[in-house]
Amino acid sequence: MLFSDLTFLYFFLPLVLALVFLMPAGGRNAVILAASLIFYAWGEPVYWILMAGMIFFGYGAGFALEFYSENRRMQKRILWIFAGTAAAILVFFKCTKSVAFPIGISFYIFQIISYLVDIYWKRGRIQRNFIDFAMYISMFPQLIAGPIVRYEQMEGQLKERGLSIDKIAYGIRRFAVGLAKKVILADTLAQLVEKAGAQTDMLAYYLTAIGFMMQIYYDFSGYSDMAIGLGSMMGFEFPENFNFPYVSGSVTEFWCRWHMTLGTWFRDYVYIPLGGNRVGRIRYAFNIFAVWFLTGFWHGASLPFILWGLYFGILLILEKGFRTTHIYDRIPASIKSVFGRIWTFFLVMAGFVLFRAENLAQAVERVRGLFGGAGIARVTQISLYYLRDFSGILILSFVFMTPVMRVIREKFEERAWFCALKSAVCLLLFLLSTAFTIDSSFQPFLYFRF
Amino acid sequence: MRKVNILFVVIFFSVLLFIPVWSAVQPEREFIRSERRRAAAFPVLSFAGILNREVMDGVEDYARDQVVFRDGFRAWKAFALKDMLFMKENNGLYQVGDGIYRLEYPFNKEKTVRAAKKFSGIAKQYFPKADVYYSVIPDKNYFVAGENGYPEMDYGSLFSAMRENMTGMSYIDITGMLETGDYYRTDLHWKQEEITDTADFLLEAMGKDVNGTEAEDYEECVKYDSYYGSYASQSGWRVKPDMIRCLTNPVIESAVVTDYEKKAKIPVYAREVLSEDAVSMDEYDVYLSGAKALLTLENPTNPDGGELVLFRDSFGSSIAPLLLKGYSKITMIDLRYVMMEYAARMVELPEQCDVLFLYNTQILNHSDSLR
Repeated sequence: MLFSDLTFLYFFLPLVLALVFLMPAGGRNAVILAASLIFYAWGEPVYWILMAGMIFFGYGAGFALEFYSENRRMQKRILWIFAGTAAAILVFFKCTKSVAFPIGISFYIFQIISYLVDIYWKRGRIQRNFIDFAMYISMFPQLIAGPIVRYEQMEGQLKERGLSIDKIAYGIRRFAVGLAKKVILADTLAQLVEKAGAQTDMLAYYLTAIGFMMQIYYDFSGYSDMAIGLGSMMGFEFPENFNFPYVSGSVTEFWCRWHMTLGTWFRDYVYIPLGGNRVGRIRYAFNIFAVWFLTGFWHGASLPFILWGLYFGILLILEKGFRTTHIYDRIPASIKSVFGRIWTFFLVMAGFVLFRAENLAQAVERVRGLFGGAGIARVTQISLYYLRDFSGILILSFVFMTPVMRVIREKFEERAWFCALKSAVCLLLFLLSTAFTIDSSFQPFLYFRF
Repeated sequence: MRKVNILFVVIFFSVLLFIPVWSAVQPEREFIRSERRRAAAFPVLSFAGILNREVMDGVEDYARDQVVFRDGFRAWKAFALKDMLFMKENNGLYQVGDGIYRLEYPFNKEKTVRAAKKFSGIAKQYFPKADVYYSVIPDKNYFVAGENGYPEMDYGSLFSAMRENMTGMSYIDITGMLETGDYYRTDLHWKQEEITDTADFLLEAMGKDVNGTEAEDYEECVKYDSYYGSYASQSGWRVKPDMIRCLTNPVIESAVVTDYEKKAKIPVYAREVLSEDAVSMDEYDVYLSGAKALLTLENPTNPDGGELVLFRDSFGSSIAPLLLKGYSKITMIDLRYVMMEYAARMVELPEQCDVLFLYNTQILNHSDSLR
């Protein structure tokens, strides 16, 4: 089931919310768990068993860790065995092309690992209530495309969370905005990517690259908005996953704003345990590459994904090195700000060309196309038509990738008329998204495959 | 602020409740007339269907087809894309003036050559002694796409590919006979009342005397002013309907039409498709009852007129009655629905006759549909 399906919007969602609102606080987690299992089984009727098994696995592993709580050495072994097994299952599905990839496995396995590590590090306590634990792992709003919710962030909310009209209204607005991002912007941009992607002139290469860059942002951040909105409707506060990444002034900043829950997961559970930057140069470089190799691998066990991860690893090392030079210090801040943003935008765009490629040869051909390699026409009648056809959606995409709406919102946040206006706009967006859903072919979320 | 939030939440949940409840209490739709198709049925529940997700996908398809205000939602989306996002097309369709057009590009040489070679092979094998002709009906884009900034296929290359591969046949160029007004605004087809001159031109090119067969010789026998063609339904745009007119004269009135699939006589104009409770969802089916693999039209008023074998697509349905005055019999074969080997067994093909391959550019450019 997709959040943009009519069966979700007009059947599953109202039913689940009604049950959650009517149920006393003590029974809400059971309702959400049941709803989550149905939600997952609807989309993954076979791998539903796997997820159920992983829930029991994680729950049992927690008790094993607690059992050896006085023996750190043994506890460490237990952690390695269980977390390693969970990671191995993920690697198996990533690497085995002959087996269908279970939706959302990358997300729920990372949550199980975070649960075990947080217990080991004593950041969180064991969850004895099976329903609460199973709900944490399988929570349908963020189950299949994040944000990755870490156990330490959720432990308190599993027991107690407030449900208020303001939170519900905020959740609805956030959900409506996310839905519109997905079905109006991302799915329309997908058409540009598909059409321009079939052309081989320089303009088409740029349209495809920019179109895909925007599509993946609105697709994924739209999903995250919907997840955060749904969570809020049920009283949760999920972490933010995006913070206007395309206005970043550096690659380092981009990764602080893009898929933030994955970035912080790798930082806290891989990079820092490896020693972070408080090590020698060679070890530091190893740590960086290890994290970016894993980031690429997390998206897929294919060369373009891994190169995409390593590409950012190299960029980050170069960027950090450049910042320590005198040349960097002499550049005026205003120039750094403007050129940094343009440069970062271009580098990220080139990165997504790599990300989208099915193989290395295709990636090289597309990057070459961006630079107008020999034999590549600058522009054709068809790509010019695509530029005109999609200019409106591209302009909107560029406007909404900046914090302009946030600035407006913060300025008028406390005014009642503004609250009414944004609510009306969100309602219209919700209905317009319904219209797009009714008249669209199937458009799965891009991040379902990771 | 809190009051606004309360009101907003109440309205939102009312929408969430209203749409499914109203959809459920409406009578179940069997057809979606605006889109000319049967509505998705609720899937049959089975364990295998659940495991392979057919049931879940079926439920979603069913929900989309049964949702209340479906046409209104589709029109709203079309409006948003065109008038709010300034997109030039919706679902592959675009508007110029009050006409709707389907983008047709790029030119697919392989498919066009395939069609041409297929036609040539048929002509050589089945009609070695006949006079064989071919003509190409340009789709509407031919007249408007390029000059309005829309991509178009390379029509010159398409016509060249046909010329090079349609061996042993004479080409009748009708492109100069047609203009955009000869086609329905909301559909891909041409209007019968606008192609009488084209029909006469074809007859003359095939050596038939058409003296005294001007358009004025026809009378209007059917007039239907609520025709929304396939482009209107696919686009979702709210547009004025077209008018369907059927022409008749003594030849058409006395024509005997045989449908070889039904093994029955059928009327030249199937007026019943224009009624409210028609089974057909395309009013253009009024012409010779729409998609038919094999038909013959006999003209009792001209027993010595010779025979024409017309290989055709749906455009042929409206022009065939206009060609009948030149022949005693027309055999119509639609290769999309029947293989030539089978057709040759079903009808008696004359040795001495005229043969005309009359296809529109969209069929040639996607010739996989030809068997």
